[in-house]
Amino acid sequence: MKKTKIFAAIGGLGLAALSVFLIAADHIDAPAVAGTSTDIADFYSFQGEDPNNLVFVVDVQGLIAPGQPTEQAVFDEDVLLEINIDNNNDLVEDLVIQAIKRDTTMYFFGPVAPSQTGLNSAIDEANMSGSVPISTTTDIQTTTNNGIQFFAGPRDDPFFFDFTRYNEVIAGSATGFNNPGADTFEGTNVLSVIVEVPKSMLGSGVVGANPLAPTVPVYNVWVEAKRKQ
Amino acid sequence: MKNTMIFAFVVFLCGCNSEKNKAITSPLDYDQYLNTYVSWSKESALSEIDFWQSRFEDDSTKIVELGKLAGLYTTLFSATGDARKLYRSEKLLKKAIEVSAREKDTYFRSLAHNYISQHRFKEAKVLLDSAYAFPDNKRETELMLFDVSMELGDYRAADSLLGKLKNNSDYNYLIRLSKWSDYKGNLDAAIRYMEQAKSIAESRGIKTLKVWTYTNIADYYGHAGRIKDAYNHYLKALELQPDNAYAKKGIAWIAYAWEGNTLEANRILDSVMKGHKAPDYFLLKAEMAEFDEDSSEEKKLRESFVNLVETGDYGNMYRTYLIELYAEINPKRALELAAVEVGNRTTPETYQLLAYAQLKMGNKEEALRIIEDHVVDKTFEPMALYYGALVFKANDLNVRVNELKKELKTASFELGPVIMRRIDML
Amino acid sequence: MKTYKYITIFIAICTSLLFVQCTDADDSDNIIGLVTCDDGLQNGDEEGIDCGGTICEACVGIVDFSGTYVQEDQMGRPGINTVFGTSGMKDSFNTTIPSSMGAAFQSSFETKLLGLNPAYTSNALGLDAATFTTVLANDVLWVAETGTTTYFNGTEILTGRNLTDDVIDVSLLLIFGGPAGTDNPTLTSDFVSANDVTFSSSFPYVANPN
Repeated sequence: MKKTKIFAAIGGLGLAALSVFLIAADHIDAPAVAGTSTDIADFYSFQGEDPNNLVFVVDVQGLIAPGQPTEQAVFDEDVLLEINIDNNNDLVEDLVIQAIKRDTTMYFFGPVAPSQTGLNSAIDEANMSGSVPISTTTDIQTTTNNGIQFFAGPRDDPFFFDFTRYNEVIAGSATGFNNPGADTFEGTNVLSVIVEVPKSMLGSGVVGANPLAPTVPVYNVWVEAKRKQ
Repeated sequence: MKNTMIFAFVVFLCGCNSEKNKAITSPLDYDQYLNTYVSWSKESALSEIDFWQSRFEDDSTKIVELGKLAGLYTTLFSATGDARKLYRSEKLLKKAIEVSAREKDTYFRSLAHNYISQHRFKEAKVLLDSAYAFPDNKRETELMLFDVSMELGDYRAADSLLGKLKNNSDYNYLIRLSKWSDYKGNLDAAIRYMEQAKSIAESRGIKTLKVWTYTNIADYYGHAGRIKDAYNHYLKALELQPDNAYAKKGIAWIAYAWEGNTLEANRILDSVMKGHKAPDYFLLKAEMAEFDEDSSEEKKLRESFVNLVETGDYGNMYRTYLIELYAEINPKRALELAAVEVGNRTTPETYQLLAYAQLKMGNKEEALRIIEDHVVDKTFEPMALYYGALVFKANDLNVRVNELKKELKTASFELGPVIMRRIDML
Repeated sequence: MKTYKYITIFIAICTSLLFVQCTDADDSDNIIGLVTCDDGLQNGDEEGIDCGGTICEACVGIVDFSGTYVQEDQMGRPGINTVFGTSGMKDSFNTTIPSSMGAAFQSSFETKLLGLNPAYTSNALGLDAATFTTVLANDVLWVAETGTTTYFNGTEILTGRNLTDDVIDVSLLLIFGGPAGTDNPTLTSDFVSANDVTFSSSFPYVANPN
């Protein structure tokens, strides 16, 4: 065969298929050169139905159309999602909950004190806390282990925002929002990892972090996406 | 393994292996992919386009929909070979550049990518320079600057970009390092890096990356004479994406170039052409007609190719093929086109075509000058060496012809039997 | 327990078009191969050596979790990168640990805030530009250990983030609304106040996909 001169092989064939626009709820991230599936779309944390529990929702790959695009959407097995919990307000994680996909399952580790804090992580295999088969659009799977509940798979994107109008305002082509606005995320899906943890596993919160409610004990929480090197 | 041994045994028993190479392809492996005329990739892109188009309502302020639809029309182009989809995407991306308030560099890169597909490399470079002026996402832009530098023949720039991008656990880097190694003539290294990229794609579990990697590594295995490995990787790609036209064309090439089985190769191509409209299938079919010494069929197929390119609104996308074709029948036109192409990008691959056109015009000294100045020792691409050999032959430089002939024999699978036949006659 | 599965390898002989001269031979062959979950090979539809697939036990114990994972993105509060992400800080913002964020980004956030709303003096929380952007630059989400968690519900402020919280309106109000929350009324809400689908009160809370 004539050698694939189409370096457009990369430019053309490859990227064509690969340059899926990954637009995140945080919110419009770049399209990938070849799929930067580490982009976090969104992050929620709230008290569970059982007030003794705290829920974390981590969304990746926002703005997925229904039907086949949702059925085809997959978590990247080289990407570790790590929920960080700081319970003494030094902005350094004291506990982490790690989630990573292997084959058709999402595995969870922790909450556990990380072996190292910061930008690099290793998976704490000894502290696997559970796993859940990754749900499909029709087969919804949740599991519970030691009081922790797990879910991973496609969901309706819970985010709502008139991003179109926001873009216009920022671009200077509109002076304000429309009333009513139009939810750019309406009818679209997202890949979610959801975990509900007994608060007793997270230690005590600390007062003074939130200047607007200085006597309320809080946890500082955030999520990281880390790629295998 | 068992499978192979039994198969080999059967071949021995039948005693019917009259072809020069042992059969590698078997319709049992891929018939299932030929018989589905519905292109899943196309249908899926179309249904997703429906979703975003219904929200878009051609309201060009909708930046999310603009971006989504632009990406989908590019996918549709890949799935169908229909260039108009690419132009549709181009329009949407231009609009997105205009209306986006943030991450504009993103849309510049996407449009550059579109222009690379259209073989508008200089314009792609300009767009990437614009993207690079934005402070974010520099690495993504550098990756694409590497691609376009290779296309434009700016190998020094490509080399220095590659140095900047170095990260052996990054798929995007490894596939480019692989392409670079191939350009340098180090096929072993090219294969090694693509294999590393392959294991990353597999570990990530991302289908599009796997399909892209399997088809590209299959090409390399073919170049290295590892035909069975090539075949297996085309099959792996088809297992994931049953309508992958590129993989089917790869199998057709094996059937033709390795097994001499033009009947089967044509059967494969005919099934591909039902869903994928790229003109170059006609060229491969024409080559096979030549192999079968059916000159009227060959002529008809070459005409079909030219007609499709000339009427199909393909822009520059098939110009290099046209040059090769016109060199035989209308060298003056070939020369004009080759001059344009060299103006477009100064690579050994474009100069080789200019030399070939000059040769066919009867300007053998000029052809020799071009080959010596711009092709020899600057590329390891077999077709370039073949044109070099033709030019040397015309200039009675037989020692050099023989040197090249020896080298070209190692690329017999890549060049295919028709070219090899011509090389043997040199 | 030993488990077996049978794989039928069906090989049609000489049906390839290659061997046209002997396609009339009506040969075909059925070979039964035996694949077991203790043969030390990844065969059949096993997903690892002797595990996974339709017959063998799942590969759990031997799943590979090794390696170092390096940060590429992070997120605490919603919309911070979208609203305050100034050109040129996206990559560094995503790879700066929270304890270093304030020093790294507070001043550029403040510049951005005053760029978005040049008239900014204070907001409904009574935070001046420096204080407000100091809070935001440390991009972590505060979640109350006990009691109501909400981004803002009229009473509680920044004690978590519920699915129903209109975080965009909160952000817009704090940026454009001025001390009383009444300035720039066309910029303090995007007038999309809820998700298009309702949430469940039970795990996993977020609605099924569309």
